[in-house]
Amino acid sequence: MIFADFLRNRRREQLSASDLAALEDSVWDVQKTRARQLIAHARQPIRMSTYLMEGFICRYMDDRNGLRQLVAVHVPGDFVDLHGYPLGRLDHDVATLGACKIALVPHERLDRLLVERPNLTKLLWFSTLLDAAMHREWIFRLGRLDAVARVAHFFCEIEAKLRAVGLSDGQHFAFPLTQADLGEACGMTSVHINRMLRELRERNLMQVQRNRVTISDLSALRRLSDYDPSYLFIEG
Amino acid sequence: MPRDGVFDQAGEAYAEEGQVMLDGPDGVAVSLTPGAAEQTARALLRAASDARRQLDGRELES
Repeated sequence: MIFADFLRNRRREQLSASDLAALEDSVWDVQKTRARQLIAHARQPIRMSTYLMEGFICRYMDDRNGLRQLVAVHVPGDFVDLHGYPLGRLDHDVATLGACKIALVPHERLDRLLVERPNLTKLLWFSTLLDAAMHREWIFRLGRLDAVARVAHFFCEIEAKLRAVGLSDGQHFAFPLTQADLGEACGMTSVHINRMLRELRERNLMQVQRNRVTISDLSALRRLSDYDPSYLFIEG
Repeated sequence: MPRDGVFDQAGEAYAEEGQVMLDGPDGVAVSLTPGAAEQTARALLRAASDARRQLDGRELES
């Protein structure tokens, strides 16, 4: 099943078997991508939306000097660029971070789903509103938190999202991002990130080793970063 | 933190691999070259001195 993780532990129970089958039928192709592959270019017309089955994808914007700000990191189960369906083009680039498996849904098939399936339409809308909620949380992170709290907050979000789709047990998860990626997500240099990761390790809160995160004290990590996961609308 | 967002808590500065990192308060997290950090430090001291004079002037007026 392609959409096995879509809205898992969120509003999955509202997705009827019939709607799920229609969503599965809407997929044009499933592709394996390499790491660091551009999926959607900013300002160019797009005719398909990407559902992430495996791996990590980011949205990003580059400044005039080529310095990058990640504006979202997506995990399996995310319908990554559903925004491009009503917008017709994106205002940012979308690229894989590690190797990924994606499903491509042509917009004309989404047109049909929207006409025929109001409940599925509402859930797809819910999915894009989740992205909006995450963007608000990222603004809070970058505007309000100091360096160590920003990094802690980032990991709290990734952990919660991965746990919702069964890819974190609350303590351990695979994490293919580099310190440079983390810097671009948290608005810091990679040297700064390195120091903050060391601080988190020395406080016995979490550590990153060989593309794997181990969180020793999730409650303390959340307290440190003012993290409240309610914006993710994860149930249970 | 006062309601107008002015902090009475100082930021912290560290040196790491030839960069100066300034963290907090609030959403401050920047890395500077040593030269830029020195200039920033001087500018901060000047601005703090000016701000103190403004506060003293306000007290005299009231």
